[in-house]
Amino acid sequence: MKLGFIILAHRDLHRTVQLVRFLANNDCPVSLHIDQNTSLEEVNELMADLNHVKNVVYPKREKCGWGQFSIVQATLNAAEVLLENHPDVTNVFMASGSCLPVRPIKQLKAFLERHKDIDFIESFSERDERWVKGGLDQERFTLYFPLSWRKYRYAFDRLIDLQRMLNVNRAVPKHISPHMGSQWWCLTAPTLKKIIEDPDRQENDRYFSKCWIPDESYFQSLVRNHSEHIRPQSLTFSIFDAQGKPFLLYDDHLNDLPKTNAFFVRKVWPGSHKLYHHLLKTKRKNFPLSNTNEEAFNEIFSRANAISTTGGKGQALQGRYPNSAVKNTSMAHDDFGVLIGFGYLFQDFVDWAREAKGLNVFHNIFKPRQFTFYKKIALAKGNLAADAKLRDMNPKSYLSNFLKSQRSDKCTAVMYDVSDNQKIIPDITRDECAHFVVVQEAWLLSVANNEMKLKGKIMQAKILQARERKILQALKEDKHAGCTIFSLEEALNTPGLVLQAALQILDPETRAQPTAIPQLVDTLKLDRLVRKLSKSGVSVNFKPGKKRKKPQKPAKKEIIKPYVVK
Amino acid sequence: MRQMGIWSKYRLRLERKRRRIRSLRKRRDIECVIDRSSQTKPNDIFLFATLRNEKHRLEFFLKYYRRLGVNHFFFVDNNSDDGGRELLKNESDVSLWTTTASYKRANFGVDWLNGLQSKYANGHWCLAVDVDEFFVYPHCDTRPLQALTDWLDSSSAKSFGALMIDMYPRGNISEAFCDEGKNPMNVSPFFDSGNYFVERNEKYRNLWIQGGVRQRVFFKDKPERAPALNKIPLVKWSRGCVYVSSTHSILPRSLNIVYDEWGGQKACGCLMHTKFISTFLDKATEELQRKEHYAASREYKEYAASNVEMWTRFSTRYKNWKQLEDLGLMSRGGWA
Repeated sequence: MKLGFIILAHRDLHRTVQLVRFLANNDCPVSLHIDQNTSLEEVNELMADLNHVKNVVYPKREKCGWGQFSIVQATLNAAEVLLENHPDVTNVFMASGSCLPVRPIKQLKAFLERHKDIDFIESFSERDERWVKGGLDQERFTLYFPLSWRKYRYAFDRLIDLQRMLNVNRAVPKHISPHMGSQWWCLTAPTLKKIIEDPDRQENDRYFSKCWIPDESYFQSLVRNHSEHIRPQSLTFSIFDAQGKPFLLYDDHLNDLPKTNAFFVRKVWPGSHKLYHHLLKTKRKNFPLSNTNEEAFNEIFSRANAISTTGGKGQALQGRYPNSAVKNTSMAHDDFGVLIGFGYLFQDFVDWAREAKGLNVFHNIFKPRQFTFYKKIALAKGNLAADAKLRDMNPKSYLSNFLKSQRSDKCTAVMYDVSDNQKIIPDITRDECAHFVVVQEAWLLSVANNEMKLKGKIMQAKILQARERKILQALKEDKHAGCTIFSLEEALNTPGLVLQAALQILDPETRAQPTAIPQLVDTLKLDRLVRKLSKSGVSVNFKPGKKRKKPQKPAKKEIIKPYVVK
Repeated sequence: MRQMGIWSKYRLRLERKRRRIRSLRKRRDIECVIDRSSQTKPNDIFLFATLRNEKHRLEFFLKYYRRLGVNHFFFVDNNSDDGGRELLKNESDVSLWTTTASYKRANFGVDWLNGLQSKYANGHWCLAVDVDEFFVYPHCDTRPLQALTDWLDSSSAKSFGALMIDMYPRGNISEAFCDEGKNPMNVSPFFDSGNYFVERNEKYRNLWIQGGVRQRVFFKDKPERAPALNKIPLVKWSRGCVYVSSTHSILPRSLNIVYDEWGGQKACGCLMHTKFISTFLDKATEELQRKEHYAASREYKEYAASNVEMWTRFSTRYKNWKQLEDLGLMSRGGWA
């Protein structure tokens, strides 16, 4: 067998020279096409460098434009010259000037020897999702594309809109069934010859010259008419990033390269000295195809794509600042709980949750003025200080930093009460990672138990009530946040349910195990306060009991109560 | 919010012109010591910096950035008397200017650099850093700067953002002594990893980031006055660009959008700021007399007043760029 190469190059020709020389020395004839747009100086330099290298032929040069037929024309020119000058060639490999062989040429030749008569070319029908990811698929074949996308992006798009509006539908010739795939193929010489010498060649060329990105469809479609043995696989590894341009390979990828099951890789950054040095060595060991791990290799690139499109959840820094219009961008990397009213309802809820249940619950970090995260802890991981001025400067960033510092496998929750700083509310109610458990009107307990005079209590009740309404309103409107709301009456009668709701968020596994529940605060003065409030015109939802003072329910009794799961 | 009227666009344009003219005027204040810019090639990467009495840092600084792949250095020396000027003059890849004019009145050196850049840097990728700042970008241990700038070119990006991270030693600063030619990041290796606060400046559209050790220690009572840490140190310069305040923001405004707005992450780096080594104390005394620094030299005052410990048990020791990426302080973005 004899393996020939078609190489299309347009820049960094010193690297192309290295590749061509390497291939020619490995007894492979090369047909080297250099873009007509490349500067004369560079071309002359290349010619001088390749002067003494045999086995290289130069086809007629075309001015190549991305996504245009000129690239196909260049390939056809190169193929014609190659087959004419080297009629003994049995397989033709199409590569670019920035490709490099990951496996020795000897191995490639042996592989092709084993797979005689097989054409390796990705060729998927236009409806196959393996190739087209959004954008133009069928329309590539039925609209007109007279403009260069690179140069006139806006006009290009408008022209497509216009054609869509006018229902333009160019007829596809009967003998052509549109297929697409990677531009980098390896065909047998007879198949390539048949494509070049196709009796309908003129019609083919005319049709494809009006298609979009014909280099990914010309050979891929026509090969269907001329080959019996197509394997839709490219022997050149090439992967595109989120912007649609090929990923570059660098020196640090060297150790990962054998993982791919391809023979060539594209595209190599021209400054990768180590890659050029190692991959173009004359004597190299085979990397058996059986040891490949294509997925692990692809992972490097799909991870980068994921980072650039959705990465960095919960972070805002120099490289990321989601627009407020973007949905599903949380300030937290993970779900977190906001427990509203728990501090009023229970005496030592945080201690109980942390000590008895081992949960990741923190005090009211939005308390006005002085606060701590827990007991005396005033500094979190990452050197985040519990400082009200710092927090109020940018509450959203502050909470985001705090949640990041508490990152663990357990869900973090913070206590929040209506008397706390309200600036954070619009941000958390909109956050899809926030989960709320609200005990409505729990603030009544704090008002009832404080030392103020009645007038003060009424004032305070009015303020807190207004704030609570705002919060509940926000929770109702922004439907991103998960939210469970209890009335004070429910909470006092069945505090177990309230705790269950909180545990459901924090640690679903411990939910079912009943233990002693934290002590409720004193509710003796509650009924009196509510009555007085309603007399002075502040109406609350909580209904006071009969005037005869009801003995307070001992909280311990709750243990015997069966835990009802909603 | 996103749509700005023609009027405000025009005002920004006027501001840019004004700053540019100002920088051209201020160019007359600086005097050329040696200009080797004729040796540069079209694809070279340039570095621009101002300095004053920082000879002890220069050897390592030049070494660090040469290794990254900076091809030519442009320095403006603000009246040094420690021999730094002579040292730089003899380096073959340095062009040097000197001035005795006021640093503060040249917008903290920005005017000088803008002036030089508009003359020499057109079409080049340029780093603008201070001599105590070390640029860290994704893959910087294996790929030269040229790889980054090539990738930015192919991504049609014209600027690259970085977060400035203040480093500090454990214990007293006066004991964090850095020998000439040695890496100051080894002497003061700690930084704060999780106390950065981000907002967006709607006028210039750059992010505004505050935090780090300086805010935690020196601006405790006025956190909103803490220095900005958002930087755009790497820019493909074209005629008409101007830095506005330090390298925090630049005009035209599009260069400030180094961040992803649609829920993803763009590639970005860090600037490791090694101000807090033993020489800081002398500098503090000197700068307090000169009063040539930003926000009335507040940090220097604070530091002179109280010899505080900056280190805590939550301080992080710097290792490499991957560590910074894991901490969420920088990102490789789409650059695999």
